[in-house]
Amino acid sequence: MSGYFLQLALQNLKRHVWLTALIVLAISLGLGSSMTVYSVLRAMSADPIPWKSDRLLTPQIDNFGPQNRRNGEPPVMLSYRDVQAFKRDHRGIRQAGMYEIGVSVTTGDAQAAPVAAFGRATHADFFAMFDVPFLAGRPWSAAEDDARASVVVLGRALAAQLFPSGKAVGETLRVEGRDYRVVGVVGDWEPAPRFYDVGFNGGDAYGQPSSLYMPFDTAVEREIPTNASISCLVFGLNRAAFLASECVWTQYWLEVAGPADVARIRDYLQAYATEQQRSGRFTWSPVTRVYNVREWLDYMKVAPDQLRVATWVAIGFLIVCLVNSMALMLARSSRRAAEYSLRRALGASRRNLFLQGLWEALLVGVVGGAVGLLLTWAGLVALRDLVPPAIKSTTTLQPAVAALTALLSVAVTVLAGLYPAWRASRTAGALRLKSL
Amino acid sequence: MDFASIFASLRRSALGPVLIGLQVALTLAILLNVAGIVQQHVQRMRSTSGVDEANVFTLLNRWVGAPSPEQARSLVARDLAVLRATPGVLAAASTNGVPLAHRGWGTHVDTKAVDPASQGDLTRAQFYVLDEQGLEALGLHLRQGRWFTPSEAASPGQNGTGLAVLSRALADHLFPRGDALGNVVYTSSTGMTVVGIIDALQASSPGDPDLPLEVAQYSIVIPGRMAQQVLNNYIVRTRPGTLQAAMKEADRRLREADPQRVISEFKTFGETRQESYRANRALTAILVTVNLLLIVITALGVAGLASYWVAQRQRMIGVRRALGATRFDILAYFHAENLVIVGTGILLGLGLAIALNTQLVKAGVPRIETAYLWSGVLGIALTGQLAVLLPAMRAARLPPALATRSG
Repeated sequence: MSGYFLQLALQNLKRHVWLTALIVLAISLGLGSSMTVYSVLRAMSADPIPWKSDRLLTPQIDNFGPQNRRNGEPPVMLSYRDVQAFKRDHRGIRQAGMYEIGVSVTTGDAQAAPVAAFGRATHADFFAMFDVPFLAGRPWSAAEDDARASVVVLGRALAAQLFPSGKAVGETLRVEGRDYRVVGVVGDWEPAPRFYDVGFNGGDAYGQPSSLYMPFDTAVEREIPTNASISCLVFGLNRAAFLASECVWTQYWLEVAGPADVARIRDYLQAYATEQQRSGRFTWSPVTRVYNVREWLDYMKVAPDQLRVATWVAIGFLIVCLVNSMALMLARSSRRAAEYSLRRALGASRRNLFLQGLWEALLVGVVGGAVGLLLTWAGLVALRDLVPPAIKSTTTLQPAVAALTALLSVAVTVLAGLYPAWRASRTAGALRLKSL
Repeated sequence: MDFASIFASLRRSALGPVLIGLQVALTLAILLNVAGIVQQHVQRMRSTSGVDEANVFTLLNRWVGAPSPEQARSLVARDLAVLRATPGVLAAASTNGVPLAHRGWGTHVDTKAVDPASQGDLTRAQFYVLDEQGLEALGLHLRQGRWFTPSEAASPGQNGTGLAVLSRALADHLFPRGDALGNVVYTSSTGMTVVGIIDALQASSPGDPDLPLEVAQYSIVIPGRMAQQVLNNYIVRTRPGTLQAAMKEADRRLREADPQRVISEFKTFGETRQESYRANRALTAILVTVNLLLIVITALGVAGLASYWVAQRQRMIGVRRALGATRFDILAYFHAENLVIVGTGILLGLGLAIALNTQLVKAGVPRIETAYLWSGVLGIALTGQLAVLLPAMRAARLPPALATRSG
């Protein structure tokens, strides 16, 4: 029976080819644009470390005072003195302070031009805390942190560039004119968004991946500056005054055993802030915040609000397209009232006519879905150069989105086709026959 | 026009017109809300940077090894001498930040000393440190007062000599009475006398939707020879037409003067502008495309349904023609019917648009402007009329003889 319905449906589509084309166009354009925008939003609001994003926390403290709060919130980075204090208090199962560095690197070869490397000064726990995969060697140890050892961990690409022979671990390279020993090489690890450092206003969430890591205290001691922003209330401080100042330029992350520990960290941070106020460092009572990865990405608006609005616009467009298709399907089916009457008169049951209507809707849905998928793919290709490079790889037609497109297409056309099909099946037997 | 008969025939086939009206309403609601967003981004992308963009290039220099502050000063001075001697170069300066390039310092400015514990709104501003060639190197226009002298720029330290040049937007904001020149401004407790006002100088991220467009024009410049130990931004302005050649030559000469360096972000200002507004461009592209498609689909829907109605009412049209209706009457009938459906949709859409807007304002969508409201209403009504034109003309051409057929 379904073969027969399909054949009839095909015939009818052919008879009303323009109207059908219009319906398919509406559905596929609606799906194509909404799924394109949704794909971008999905890529930009992805959880980069889903298995522990609720156990990785970043603290914020209001060391600038009420005058300089951002909408009542503390600055989004931390001062060096606070990071040192948090590290000393050691309240998570793992923790690391960090800041972005940009350095020049050379190997023993005096002829070779120096290479610019962007990376991170951080504590040893960084690697275990964020589950950074190692290709060779190991992270440095906490003891090496404390000893301010001259060690580095390289990214895969930089290691291959500096040491074409293949073995980087154990080799020595020069960073800013000093020798460092390579202790490890990490594999491709490029969380997008780069949750642990999204930049001052979320703008660096898709910044360049790190290719070189060195111990936090080593970098600070050797005056390797941050490559990212510094926010200060006072400019022109010398190095010692800068480190002791309220200037914010570092991040701090800690890992706790379970979500239940979040409250404990909150209490600790508030107690720390109160203590700072009591000791006279703050003349105000400080606002403190603890965010996990998802909360942090939300707060920093890594997926911009306006992209959310764009997604709603595209979904609105999809709804318009569906309403449009429904009106056109209705028009198509009522234009065929006479044909339905004839078939009723010839013995087709109401159920048969209803099913027939549904089959036609289904056919339109399948074709519309296929064209919609094609348009989504084309839309994402067109947007290629407009999305941040770091999410280019995830801003493609994902299987989940493709499945959603196909499902939506069939579901909505069948839904839109239900009423016309039901109306068609209500056609009285011989009533319209005379108009044939 | 016989609106009674229009309503009578609309009532008989209610669902189709209701759906089209609904579609028009949604279309209008979306269009009106999106227009403001697009306009805001276009305004951002068109806003002036104050820089002579066609003739400026910038680069980020990185030393190998960590020179001492004194060494860094002499290295930067040598580099600037190299750049200034390069053929085609008009001026060169080192700076702590580059407009639009996402590299720079932010600060708070006020007309009195700032006490961090007090509550209240401070003015956010971009903070630039530039030497005596800074004005020329960026190609800024001095509006009032003067720029810094070599001796003012030469005094070391980032606190400068207590002098400042403000962008006009910042000067007007801090001193609404227009008496900025000669007055004192403060960043934290440091006071600086305003010696000059420039037409415009934009912040380092004017594309950020969270940064109000007028605040992106708030800049304060203090004199100084910027020389950081590792990273230094150079700004170079060339004679018109020599930008590419001068860039190539400058790169060669810098590397010749000292091969132990890494040069990055080596870009014309045009490239910097392109990259700075990438997100704005992406969003504008998405919104404009979706809205164009929206109008097209709505027009096609109106046309499709109208042509179906024409086909369905052939006999009625024939009867009317036989009873003396002119071709124009038939044309007018379909246009009037369209106006009733689309007009109802527009009324509904206006309500929907405003309801939606009050919600979306919280997400940063601008309020709908009256001008957009009217052009949106007019545009949609016109689109509806245009969409119905072809089917209506076909209806008008139907012969009165159709009345004699059954159907």
